[in-house]
Amino acid sequence: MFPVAQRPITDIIKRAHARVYNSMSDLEVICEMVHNLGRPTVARFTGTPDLKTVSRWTLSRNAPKDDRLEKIRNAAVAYYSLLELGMTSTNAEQWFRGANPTLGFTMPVDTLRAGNYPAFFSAVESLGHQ
Amino acid sequence: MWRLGYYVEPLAVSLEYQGSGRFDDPYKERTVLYGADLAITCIYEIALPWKPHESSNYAHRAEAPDPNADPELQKVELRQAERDREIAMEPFKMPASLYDYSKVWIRLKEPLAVCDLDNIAVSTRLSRIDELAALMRELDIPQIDRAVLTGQDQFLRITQAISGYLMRNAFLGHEAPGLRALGRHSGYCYTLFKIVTGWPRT
Repeated sequence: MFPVAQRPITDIIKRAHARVYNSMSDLEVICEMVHNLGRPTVARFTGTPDLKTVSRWTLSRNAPKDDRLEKIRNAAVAYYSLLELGMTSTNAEQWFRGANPTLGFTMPVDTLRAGNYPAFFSAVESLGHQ
Repeated sequence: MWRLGYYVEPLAVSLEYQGSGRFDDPYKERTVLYGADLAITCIYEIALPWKPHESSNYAHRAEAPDPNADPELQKVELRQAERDREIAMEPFKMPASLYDYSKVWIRLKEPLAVCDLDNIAVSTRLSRIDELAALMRELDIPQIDRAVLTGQDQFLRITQAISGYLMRNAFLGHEAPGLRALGRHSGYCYTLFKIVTGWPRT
């Protein structure tokens, strides 16, 4: 269901941000996003050429560089915001690959890849209001 | 009219959440209400973010496991590959509750004469208004057509400039309480302008 009426979208994003940055370790965020979004999406928005590297991150065999980790964290903020808006995990994952009208009908995954966080989160915010 | 929004009181639209809509007030002084006479039109407008992009099948990307990897890594790679397949094979779905929890049916007590942007004569006259003509020259847009009225990015400046003008000025001798424009997928969308004392009296 969409309980969003009870809480402005900005509050939802703030709560998700607090969860990701204050309550989750780097490894937890990486593993969650790899499981929920899939390795191809994580690889795409981090600009990682192969899926094996993403797998190694989940085992702490190596670690993503700071800029890539930041993108993973921002993806997580968006993902948890979408869940709090009442979407299922599948809805939230597919949102990353949809032709988003707020982003000129490009995919949020590519906006995140470009590091365009304001536009990326404007697409999230647009779900919270009309 | 149908209205599909995310609020418990979808007609209680506040200024705080306006700004990115096609016909929102560019001066952010007045709220607008969006609707359509068909539910499917509203649903399409809201559900567009879940229309799969033509490149969304990148999710089907797969790799053979590294034959030189240790057993632990190989096991993880196989498990994650299976999960990747699950995600990729899932058909795109609009969020199920989008319709059930958000639709609102309203009925006007009296008909409203809104400005019909799909009328070529209307859009041509609008394009001759000084401030709109200047904006069109700046953006190198030769005419206000359906592509402009249903587009995004720079076209948003045009559509919001139109609504901003119509909210504050009489046009063709009439102070329009709103406008009608083509929906992005099907049908027509209606935008009502909130006047200072409330929604248009009906």
